[in-house]
Amino acid sequence: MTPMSYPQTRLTALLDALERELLAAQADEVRHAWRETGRARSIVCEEVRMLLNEAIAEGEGGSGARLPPNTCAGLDRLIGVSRELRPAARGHYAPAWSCRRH
Amino acid sequence: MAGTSQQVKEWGRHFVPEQRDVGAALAALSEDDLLRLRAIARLRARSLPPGGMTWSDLLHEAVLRALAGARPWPAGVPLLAFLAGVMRSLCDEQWRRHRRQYDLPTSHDGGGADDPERACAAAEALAVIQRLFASDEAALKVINGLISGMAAEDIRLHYDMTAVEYDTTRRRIRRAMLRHGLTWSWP
Repeated sequence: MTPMSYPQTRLTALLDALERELLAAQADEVRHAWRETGRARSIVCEEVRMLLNEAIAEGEGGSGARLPPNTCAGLDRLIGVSRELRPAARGHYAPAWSCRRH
Repeated sequence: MAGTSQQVKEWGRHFVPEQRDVGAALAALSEDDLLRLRAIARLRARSLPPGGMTWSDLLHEAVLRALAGARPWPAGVPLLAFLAGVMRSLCDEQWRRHRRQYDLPTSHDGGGADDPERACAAAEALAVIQRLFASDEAALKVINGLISGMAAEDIRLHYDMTAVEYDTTRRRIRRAMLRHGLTWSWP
């Protein structure tokens, strides 16, 4: 067992606990937090839905199907995020992980 | 935080289809669950290697793995909890890839305890999350208790918090995490 003095162990403990909180959040808490952000709920829901749909389409497309390295190019267009802001677009990592059946 | 049985009860509120059809279950997610999923992905992305995957990449890959059956969806586990687990595994996998990519020595510990770069990134991520609650003393106590791996009762006793104080603090933490998970801004 890894001692709790290690930062990564402490981070894992915190993320796991916060994740449980998010999973357990009541619908009214989600809505309340949402209202506080001031963002259009429909746009963000559509953003996540689009991301899921892309993955579903890719998953159903067989082994030959593969999205471009920037998997969320369409998503970015929808929500107006410049590719330059995305690490992948800056070439900071090779998408070796992406879109591959493991 | 809540005990295991309570968590299972709370998760049980969410849609759990009998069929293990990930695609159909994804399509059936409510707006609240979509928002929750986004917040979870953004939270979990905090433990990714720097300069690599984004939260959306992480979620995309988790869904792909789930659809491909590379990560079987266990019966009785809500979809969001399952995808959260896949994302968590992907973060560890990304660190292993990161080490290979830069020819760094392989970590001998499963959690990467002997990886200085990961330790540094984790310390930074912890500091970011603590800063989120810098103006909320009670929340910071709970966060620090969680960081130390303390259970809910231990945190309450250690920081001399009543059950009501603890619960309302948890509620503020949840709302803050949701808020920051739903917006672009995260310090």
